Parts: sequence; structure tokens; C-alpha cells
Amino acid sequence: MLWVCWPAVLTFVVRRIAYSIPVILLASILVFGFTRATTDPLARFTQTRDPNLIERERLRLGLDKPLYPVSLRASMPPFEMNPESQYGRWISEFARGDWGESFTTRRDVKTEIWDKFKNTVKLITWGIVLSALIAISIGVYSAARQYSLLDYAFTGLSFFGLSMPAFWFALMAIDVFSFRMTKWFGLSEPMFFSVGLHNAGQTGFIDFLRHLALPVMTLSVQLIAGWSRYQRSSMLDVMSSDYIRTARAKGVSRTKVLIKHGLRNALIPLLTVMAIDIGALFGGLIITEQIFSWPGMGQLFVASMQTGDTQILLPWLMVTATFIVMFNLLADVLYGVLDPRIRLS
Amino acid sequence: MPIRDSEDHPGRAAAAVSSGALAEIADDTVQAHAQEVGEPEARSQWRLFWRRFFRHKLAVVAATVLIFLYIVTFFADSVSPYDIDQVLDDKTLADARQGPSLDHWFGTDDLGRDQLTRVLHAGRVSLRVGLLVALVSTVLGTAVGALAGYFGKWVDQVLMRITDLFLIVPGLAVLMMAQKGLSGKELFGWRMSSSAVIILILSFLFWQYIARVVRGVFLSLKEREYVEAARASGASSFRIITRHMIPNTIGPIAVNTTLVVGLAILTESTLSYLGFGVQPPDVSLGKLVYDYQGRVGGDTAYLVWFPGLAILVAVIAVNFLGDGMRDAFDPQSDR
Repeated sequence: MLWVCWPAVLTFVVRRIAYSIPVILLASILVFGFTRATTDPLARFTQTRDPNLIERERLRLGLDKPLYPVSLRASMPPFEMNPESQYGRWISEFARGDWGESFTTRRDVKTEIWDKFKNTVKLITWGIVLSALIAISIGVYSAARQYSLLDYAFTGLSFFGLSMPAFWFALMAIDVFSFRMTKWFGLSEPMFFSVGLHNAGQTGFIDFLRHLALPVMTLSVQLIAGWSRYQRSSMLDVMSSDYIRTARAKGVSRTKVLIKHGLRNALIPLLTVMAIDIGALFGGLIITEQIFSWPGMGQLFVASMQTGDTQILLPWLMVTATFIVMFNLLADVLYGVLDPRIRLS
Repeated sequence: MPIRDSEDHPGRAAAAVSSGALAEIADDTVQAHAQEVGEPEARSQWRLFWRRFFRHKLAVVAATVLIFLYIVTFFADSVSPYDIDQVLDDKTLADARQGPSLDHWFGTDDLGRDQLTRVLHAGRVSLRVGLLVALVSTVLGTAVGALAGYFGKWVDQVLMRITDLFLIVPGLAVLMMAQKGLSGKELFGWRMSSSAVIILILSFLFWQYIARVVRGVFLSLKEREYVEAARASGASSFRIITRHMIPNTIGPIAVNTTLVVGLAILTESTLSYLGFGVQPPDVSLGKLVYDYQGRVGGDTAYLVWFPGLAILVAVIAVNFLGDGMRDAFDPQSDR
């Protein structure tokens, strides 16, 4: 079925992983400087009456130390080495898994992020499965019936999807599905809820689905719009290639060519695009989670922003950046494994 | 002049135009100069562009809508049916919470203020941010992309590594932190307004998008004969870039500048909706949606409909325009 030359794939994968380690390290340096420059960890004490509190906290957090292990100074020698630096302390603790505790909730940052992460994964998984199924169907149909009425309709809709502000779409969905539908059909409670994971005191799956529907809808609109366009052009590309014509000339039926030869090959580029988009989703659900009060990573970020909780912001940025790198890597590897032409060139 | 021909055979038309123009000129040096300036050819290229563009009905409609929106919001003070700082007297308050009507197309808010007037003024801020971000990031992106594509080597390496880094951090999160960190700060002794901060950080995010496009085009243009010819005849790098390569990159640049306008409007509205965008006294469309989001599902939900609809119309017009321009710049798009 799929002939894979494993040693070649292995070296390919190892090389890509080796490349992404310095990228993440460099990102950690920038993320740290950026967070320190934009968010003051002591800002939450501006209202304090205790004059020594700020100074005590400053020393406790090590904010009196220089920012980086190496700093530029006007004096000789040009580089100054700082054995004790804020970044050095943070990165070594971070790497050892000691992420500290949140300023605001006093909870362990690692468990806090892990809890929120699980909720985000729930949302993302459902969103991806739904979007992928719909987008691939639309893409295959549009390519098979290029310039048909429905093809134009899908193109127009995808333009709408890509031009629509996600937060506004979410609000409109709440307006229609949580409120107006209830009124029109005279229901006692809304069909879909717009707040949180579950109603108070409920844990059932149906209850979960009724909470899941609207956030997944919001998330899917843009994914479907982007992916269906991509799948359409990728299908058109494949369908115009020589081996498709050969298969048709040999008498293979149109549907069989479309699915077995066309779709299979057209999925390769789509899969890589999907991998990249999914990686970006871990940090990109801020709006959806905020509107639907979904207790995930995005909501955690906004809450930490509002309180200036750098204890959470820093690991949050690192975790999401790592996911983006990992999924970009996955995209590269998928492409290499599934398409031998890429790997061998 | 064979205009009919030019539609089907751009190359032949260009040759016909230049030979026609050159027929009267005997002197060889003048001839060479005319060719280098490339004026007759450039003119016909633009004519081809417009011809293809006007055939794209949707793009023409989109361009019209967009120009209309920019004019209407730019002159919002004189166009809007009511004063933005309407005096809240008894007469105004009596109009409170009225749905869309002929008097108030977009309805009125709790104090009887006309929502259309507010959408027009907020739209001015949003559209201005979109345009300025596109301009700043185009200038910056074209300059960096051109240098990286033309000189290659370390300039190229540095650019590509920087854009790689930007790709791996979640953009919206970084924008929110930057906005919070920068708002109220001074830049060269000039206190930045919240919309200036937004324009600055959005340009800082989007310039690399243009830079990557320009770099890509430059990499392929660098190998063309006319660049080699220009270099052989002693033209400086600066001259080659500004007179030969950038004019030939104008298509991708213009298309992506247009698309950045839409991206910037969307991103700004998202930031404003999250409370990290423009701050009062400035109001943008995203801020209007934010202010009235609690009305969803109630009788005054129209206060949320129209600001969001305004964003959608503006961005979709930009995207259709960009799409049409892409087709019009592509000589192979005639089908």
C-alpha cells in the first residue's frame, strides 16, 4: 500500500526535530524579554498600603537581577556575564518542570494549565473532525463540478466565512440559537447553551453536546472556509494530472478515479495545512473561549492578561509556541512520509 | 493602434505599441533609452490590467462599495444624519431603544442616540487603521523583502529567521500583550494614542507577510535577462531595484496590500472586541460590538447586528477586490 523507506524517513524526522530545538530556545529568550517589557509582575501591588511589600516581592521574584545571562554594557569588556539572571532562573526552573504558582489563584501553574488544556483539546477535537469532514466533501464536490451553481455558492460562502469577524458570528449564533429559536418554537429552555461546559449539577453527554455546539460552530466556520478552498484547488490540481487521464482512459469509472486517485493524492497537501492550522488553534481560541466562557487555554490567557499574572503568561506562551512548532514539524514529516517525491528530492 | 489585438495577445500588443512609437525615431541611442524607460509598454500593461479588471464584475462592485465606504466614513461628520455629540435633551431621550426605521436606519441606543451616526464614526477609525497598517507594512515589507531577495546571503537568512520566529508565537496573544504594554507610552517624545499603538503593532505583524511575497518574486526576477542587461550596462543595485524590479513586482505587492487592509480591519476589530484595541475617546466597530454584546437575544440586539455587519461588508469588499486584482494582474487568467 504505502511503501516507506524507514531509514530515510528517520533521518528526515531527526533532522527536523534537531532544527526545532534551537528555534524554541530562541523563542523562549524573546518571549521572556517581551513579557517582562509589556507586563509588570508587580503591577497588582499598586493599591497596597504596605510600603515594604513591593520591595519584598521584587527580591523574592528576583526582579533586581539583570534580565539575561549576557548583557551589553558600555564599559569594557563589551559583554558582561551575569551568573544570576532572571531569564536563567526562569528557564532552568521551567525546564525542570517547576513552573511555580499563579499570582492570583495560588494554584500550581502546571495543573492550572493542564486543566485548561484538556478543555481546549475537547473543543478543538470536535471542531477539527467536523470541519475536516465538511471541508473535504465541499472541496471534492466543487472540484468535480467546477463552475457549477453550487461551486459558485460554496466559493461565495467561503469568502463570507473568511471575512466574518469570529466574535460577531459567535454573538449572532447565540442570538439565533440560544434566544430567538427558543422564542419561535416556544421551548422552555434553549436548544444550545452559550455558557461553559455543563449546566450546574449536570454531567451528561447530551448536556455537553448542547454546550459544545455553538463554540464548535464558531470555530468551524473559518476552518471550513479555508480548508474547503484549499481542498478544491488541490483536487483540481490532481485531477488535471496525467495519471488521472490514464486511469480514465483505461476505463476506471469517474467516481472511482475521483475518490481513489484524486482524493487520496489531494489530501496530502490538505493534511499539512491542517496540521499547521491545528497547531495555531491551541493559542488561537481566545475569542471563542472568551465569548462562550469555555474554561480553556484562551480564557486562561485573557484572565491572566487582565491580572498581569506573568507566572501563567510565560508558560502559556511557551506551551502554545511549542505546540505550533510541533505541528509544523508534523506537517513537514507528514508531507515527507506521504509524498515520496518531497523526501527524495 | 491595434487595440482589439491587445486583448488576446498582450505580448504582441506590447511589441506593436513600442514599434509604432519607435518608427519615427531613427536615432539608436534614443531608441535604447525609450526601451529602457519602457513607457509605451508600461502604459499598455496598465490598460490590459484595467481591461481584465473591469471584466471581473464582482471586483468592480467591491471596489465601488469600498470607495463609497471610505468616502462616507471619511466625511462622517457631515454625512451622518445626527450629530455625534448629540445633546441628550428630552426629545432625544424619547427616541431611546427604537428599532431600525426610516428616521434611524440602524436604530437608537438607550439614550436615543442614532446608531448609524455612531457606526459611521466608528467605521472611520476602523477603516483608517486598515489603510494605514497596509501602507506602513507595504513600505516596510517591500523594502526588506527587496533587499533580502536581491542581495540574498545573510540579509535573506536574517529575514527568514525573523519571520519564522513570528510564525511560532500565537499572534493574537502577542498583539494583546503589546497593546497593553505600549498604550499610554511615549515614542520619541510623542504620546501615542490607542489607535496609533494599534497601527504600530499591526504593521509590525503584517510587514513580514509582504516581505515574504516580495522576496519570493525578487528571487525569480533576479535571474531575468533584463536585470542582467541592466547590470551589464552599469546600472547600480539601487537603480535596478527601484526602476526595474519593483515596477515588475507591483502586481503581487498591490494584491497583498489590499488583502492586508482586510486582515488589519479584522484583527483590529477582534482586539477592540477583547478590550485590547482602541480605547475611548476613540471608538471602532469592534468596540461598538463589545459595548453592546450584552444585548444579544434581547429587543435591542440590532445594536450588535449593524456594527458587525459593517465590518463584514468592508472586509468582504476588500477580499473580493484583492481577488479581482490578482486575476487582473495575471496574464494567464483569461479564460
